[in-house]
Amino acid sequence: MTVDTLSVVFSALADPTRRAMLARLAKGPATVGELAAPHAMTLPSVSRHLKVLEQAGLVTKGRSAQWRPCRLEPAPLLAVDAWIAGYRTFFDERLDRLQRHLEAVSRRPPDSTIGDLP
Amino acid sequence: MTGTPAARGFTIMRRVAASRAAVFRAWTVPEELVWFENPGFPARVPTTVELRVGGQWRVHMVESETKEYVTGGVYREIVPDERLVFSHGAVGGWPDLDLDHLDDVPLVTIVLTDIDGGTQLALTVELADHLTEDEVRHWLGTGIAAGWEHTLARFDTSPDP
Repeated sequence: MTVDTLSVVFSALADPTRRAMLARLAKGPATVGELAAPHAMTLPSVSRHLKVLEQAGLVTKGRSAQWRPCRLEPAPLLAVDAWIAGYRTFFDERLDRLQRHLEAVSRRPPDSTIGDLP
Repeated sequence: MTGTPAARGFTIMRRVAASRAAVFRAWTVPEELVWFENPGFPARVPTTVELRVGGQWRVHMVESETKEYVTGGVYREIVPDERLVFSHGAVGGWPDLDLDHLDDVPLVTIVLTDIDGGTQLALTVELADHLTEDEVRHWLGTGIAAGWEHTLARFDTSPDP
């Protein structure tokens, strides 16, 4: 997945309503009406949110069924998870070093510490 | 949060055998922030800390003879020995941070609590909800690609497990 594709997925996720819709779809397929029900907004604006999710490849609409249920497509979310994991590694490594640093500081004799321990 | 299937952030918990005050100092005193640098590649520019809301901390990160960048943050909230909130990044560094648009970079929250034998550190990273597609693209393009490369490069050279 390219950075551009990933940024489209991130952008689609950058909205609480769209995340709530995805959370609903994670439990199973739903119609547009069912997706709209918990939100105080018109069907057209729900459809606009759905379109953003579809363009990001996060949601597909059934072709054959009369009421075309929407489904969650998890693949792009896995790419986001992988990206987050890479960023998390940066902080994981830093905190490993922080733990070692603080252990070394606490082993220093009291008269040579930087600052004062309570 | 709404219980979404996709995370836009994460939390790391660590137990540290040191007082809250010692952990807070390790994050906010330039001489102590040496642990943030890459093992075996000391900073060639002194670390600076302006410990006030709106102040910046900057650490020079050296990856190799030819690869280096500045990281750090802009403080958003400071409660001594308890809580530290900063926008992660540096002007002209990684993530590339614009002082007028701090919410375009990840927000890092560090919370320190007393536990038996030391301190529990919770580090949370969150992406702001309001980012437009262009902002995300800019940030991903300039920041994360570089950051990931740095992180992966470290696996090749680091002797640590």
